[in-house]
Amino acid sequence: MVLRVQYNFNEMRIALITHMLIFSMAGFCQDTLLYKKTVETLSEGDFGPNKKNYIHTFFKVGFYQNTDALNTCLIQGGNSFTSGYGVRFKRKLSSKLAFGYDLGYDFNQYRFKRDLSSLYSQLNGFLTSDSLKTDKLTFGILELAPYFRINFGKRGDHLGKYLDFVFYGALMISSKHVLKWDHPNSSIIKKSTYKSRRLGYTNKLFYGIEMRYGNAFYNLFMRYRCVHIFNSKLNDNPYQPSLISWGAYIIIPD
Amino acid sequence: MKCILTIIIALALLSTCAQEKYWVYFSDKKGVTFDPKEYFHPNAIERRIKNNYPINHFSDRPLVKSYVQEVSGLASLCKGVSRWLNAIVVTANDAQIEQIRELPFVLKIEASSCHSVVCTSEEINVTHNDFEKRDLIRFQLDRMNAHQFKEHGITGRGLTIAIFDAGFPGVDKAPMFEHIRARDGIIGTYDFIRNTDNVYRKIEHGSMVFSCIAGVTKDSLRLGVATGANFLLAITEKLMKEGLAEEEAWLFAAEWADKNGADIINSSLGYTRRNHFKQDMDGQTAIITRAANLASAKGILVVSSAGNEGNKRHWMMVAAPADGDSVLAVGAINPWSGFHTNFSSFGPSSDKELKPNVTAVGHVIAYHKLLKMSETQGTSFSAPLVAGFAACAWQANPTLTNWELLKRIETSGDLYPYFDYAHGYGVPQADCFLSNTASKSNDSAFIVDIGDSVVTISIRDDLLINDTLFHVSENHDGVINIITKRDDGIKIDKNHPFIKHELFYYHLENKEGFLDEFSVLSVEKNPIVKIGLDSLEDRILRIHYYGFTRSIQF
Repeated sequence: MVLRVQYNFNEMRIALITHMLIFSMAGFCQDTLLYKKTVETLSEGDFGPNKKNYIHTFFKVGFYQNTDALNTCLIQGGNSFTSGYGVRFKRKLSSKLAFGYDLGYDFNQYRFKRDLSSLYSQLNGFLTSDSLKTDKLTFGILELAPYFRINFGKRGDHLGKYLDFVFYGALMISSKHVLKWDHPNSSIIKKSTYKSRRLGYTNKLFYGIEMRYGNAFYNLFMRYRCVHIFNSKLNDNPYQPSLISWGAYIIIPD
Repeated sequence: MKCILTIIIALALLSTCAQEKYWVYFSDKKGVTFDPKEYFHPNAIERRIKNNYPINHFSDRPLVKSYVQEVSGLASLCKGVSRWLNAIVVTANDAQIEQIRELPFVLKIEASSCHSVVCTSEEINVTHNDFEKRDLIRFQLDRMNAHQFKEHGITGRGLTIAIFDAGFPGVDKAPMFEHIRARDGIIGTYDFIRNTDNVYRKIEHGSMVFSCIAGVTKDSLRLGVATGANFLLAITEKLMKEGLAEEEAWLFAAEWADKNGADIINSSLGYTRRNHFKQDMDGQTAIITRAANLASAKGILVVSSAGNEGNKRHWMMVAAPADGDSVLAVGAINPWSGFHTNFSSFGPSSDKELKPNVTAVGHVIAYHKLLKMSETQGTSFSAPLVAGFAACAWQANPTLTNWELLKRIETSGDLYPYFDYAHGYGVPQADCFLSNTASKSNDSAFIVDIGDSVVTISIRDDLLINDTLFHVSENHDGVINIITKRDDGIKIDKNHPFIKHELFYYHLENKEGFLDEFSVLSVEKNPIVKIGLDSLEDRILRIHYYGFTRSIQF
């Protein structure tokens, strides 16, 4: 048996008791296999890719651009990357305009090619003469990135094509620098590895700008970081990792 | 810095200079000559005569060549031409489209758009062996009593079914379609995405759909009923690509199917929020729906899957073209539980037309390229079951027009005259097309007690069938029937997996004539349901059980 009665607000107590009685009788009742109100089906709601509010998650993969400009460390293109995961909030202003912000975590890795002997001599004086095999800087950042969006073209409840203008601020929450050497001429040691964490010679706060071209489930982005990675504690190090990264966001619909 | 600037400019150009797609409608077809007998397949002319539709209708005449040439010359690319809409699709930038707008013969211009679309339903395979598969194959047709068509020698012969889908790999080689190939039953093919005749490639969704209309296994088990029909196969779907381009391809395919004498179009495709808002599902907005309605006006029965959005919280309702009022929208039932399966889209359309119109089994055995056949699910497969059924019904009743056939299929539903927005009129029954069946409506099956505040509904004791589906029971051999729960909460009686379950249905219809709510209940003992009188004010309560329907006006 199924009881379906609509109650006024002031009858809530009676309703509660009635429902408790019904639930206690559940073992003797028919199963409601399907119950549907038409209004639920027809309701448009204000949440959706092209509605008033929208939230979706995303993956991000990007690569650092090896610009070879003055005072820039040469990096290994494919191995120097950024990847991340986050949530994007969107608020629609009109059919063409929207704004919102991203909250996310980014993992970054630089593999340097250029000999930074002056840097390493500051880090640890005893490891400079032999050949450097690996020089890897990794760090994780938490990121807040407000953006302004311009949409193009007619669309249904869909993200469509758009251009995003983004400002981002980021906090470095973890960092690690790994250096590996071969010592072919040494009879005592063949390889050595130097790992350091909580680096004092990197900046902790970053900010920059980003431009995104979006189409349906992906964005192509181009990012410029306005703050160098290494801070003033490495006074005699003239080299800084690349400021430019590019890549794609893969959007995961709700 | 140069590099940054270059990339930023490139990104900006990519979006701002990207060309948009437009429909350019022409004002007339002045001076066009058209010989219908030369253009149309004889079947198409016959169909028009039968439906009292002019054989030289304005919408069938070709476009004015000079108009097409002039607009194509101004635009970047002409993507297609529609006689029915008297329009062409072009890609153009803002300046070009302004030039086109100035042309004196241009009636109006509508912006189109390009968005990705993917149509899937989650896969839950339940059949574990060939024995269970064979059971399901039988049930997917038996649920419609379709074996009766076979017994009467009805296989859809003389009818042409056009199937619009994403690809038909294997149809040219697989033994399952050998009986159709042997008699040259595939009378035309066209890929409207790549503009070639080869459709035996790409996604095998179309092959699976085809098998549910006319597939036969090597041991002569039929997956669909229209094994004697002729077929037109068209690719209109391109996964992960332009959504509206596919709707346009569907329109061009419908014109092609009409020209080549199609009687039925089966479309197991659905377009939802990637292209549209819910309010656009009003039967007259989406291009694909307009095309389906035009096809119907020309005498073609359009059978469309209702959509697999029933469990998607931001859509739930039917997908275009199932919203068309002259389209037979087919929902899906779960063969184990006997009622609405969770992914099948709900109606009504946004203009509150009843959708889906009917239902069929939505978990089926269909063709599979590697496994020969496999279990799959979706309204994509319930629609072709009904399309095949419709072909047989039409063969049995050749004087019916497409609209009359649609209505007859509705009235043959096992719930009729009851309906709701999950099941429509239920699963169509073949016996209704082969003999005159008595009306199922019978008030005496129910005991309705109207109290001061509550209406109590009971079923006459002799009709009360205690459905084994929902109870652990012991059979005559003393073996306990094992009832398991699937991931989606549906219980399966493994000893009797596929039987027609007798369930209790009720809905509340308001003054405007559409349903406010509806429900399905299992039946164990009386009373079945109690409904508060305050929720029944100015409404019709309609109840259904075991083929009996009763309406009570409050």
